[in-house]
Amino acid sequence: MKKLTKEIICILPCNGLDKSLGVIAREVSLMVIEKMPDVQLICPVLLNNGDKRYEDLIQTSKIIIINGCMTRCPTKLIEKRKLKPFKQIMIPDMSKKHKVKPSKDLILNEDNIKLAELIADEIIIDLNKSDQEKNIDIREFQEQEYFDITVDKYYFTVPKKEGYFFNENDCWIKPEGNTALIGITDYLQNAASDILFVDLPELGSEIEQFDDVGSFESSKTVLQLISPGAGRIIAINKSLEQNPEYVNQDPYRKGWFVEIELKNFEEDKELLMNGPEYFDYMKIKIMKEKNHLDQIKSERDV
Amino acid sequence: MRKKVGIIACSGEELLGGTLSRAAARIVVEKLRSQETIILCAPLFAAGGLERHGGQEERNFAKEHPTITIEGCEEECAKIAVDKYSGPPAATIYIQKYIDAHPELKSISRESLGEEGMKLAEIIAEDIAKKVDELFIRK
Repeated sequence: MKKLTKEIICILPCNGLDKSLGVIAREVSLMVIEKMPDVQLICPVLLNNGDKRYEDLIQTSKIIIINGCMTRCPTKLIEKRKLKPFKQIMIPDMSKKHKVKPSKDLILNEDNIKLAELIADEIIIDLNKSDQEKNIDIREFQEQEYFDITVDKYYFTVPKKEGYFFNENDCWIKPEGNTALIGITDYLQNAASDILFVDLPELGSEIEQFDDVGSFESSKTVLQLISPGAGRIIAINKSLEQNPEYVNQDPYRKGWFVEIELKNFEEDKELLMNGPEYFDYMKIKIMKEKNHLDQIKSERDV
Repeated sequence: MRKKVGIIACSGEELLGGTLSRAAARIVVEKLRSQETIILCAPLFAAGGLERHGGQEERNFAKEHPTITIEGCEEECAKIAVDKYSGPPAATIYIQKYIDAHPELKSISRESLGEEGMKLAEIIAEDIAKKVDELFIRK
């Protein structure tokens, strides 16, 4: 199972003190760091002098380069080490793009500060975007066998494999050590029909058993995932934001919603069913609904 | 015509010394000795200039002109760079000496000097200006 790891981000500005472009580059890097304190600032001159700490850092980091002028000093420092930056910014290009002239002296005017803010914001947006992409936590699952039942045109499954537990709200939990994946059952996804949006909880939040930990919306309805277990949310399935259909296609594997660090699963388990128990429970539920619908239909036909 | 003096400041962003060195360099070049000095870009020194300009503008300047380096910390990056590419600098100013000598002049943060930090930068700049004058007398 893949876990999320924190990537180090470095910013290598020009820092040139002979032109306002260099001063803008410096200002941009300071603004990024102010908003993202985890970003590490690299001094180009110290890097050039072979500082070991920097050398080690840039080998394993995502590097953002801010070039003040066409000499592209920071780029040269990185190219010399045969590394590829994540992003390169040329202050003259940005100055043209935003139609802001760099000041003639080294004291930045109001427009230059605004330009620096715009560039810093663009960098932060890109970093956040790439973070979101990185957080798409794709897991590999083994093929598995299912108990199944077909009612009319609908096909319902429950995993045969041991290790899945279910609540009466048609949600499942699959513990592995002290963590567990949580999702909804095939019955619930069938009831919802084509899922269009999935709303996931915040990472790090604490949940109790039977708390509402997410919702999903189809063209028919909005339903909630009621957690079968208590704990702290340590991962969310971000891929569902782009591909909510995974819940319909593969509810017990690719369609998982969240991963939690379990609080006391032995206690939670007392209120849950295992696979065969839930399959029986689900069949009764389906048949009751079918009978109810058939009755309505026959009354309408009469 | 007398030769101008090059001023090259530590580029350090991780420490207060870097910010003070940059501020002091600018005070010298823009206010105190604007006719006698020229600021050199430390990163450009390190990376080399534009190829189409020969790639050596800053380095050649420091070869042919007296150059003062301003060091934000004991790494002596500016001095090392000048020494490596252009020969020994004419003088070196160590910011830490001033921070130790003026504990009452506290900066707000490593990036922002505030009023007291700027006073300290002015004191440093005055000393750099004196060095510039000495270099002119020597000439």
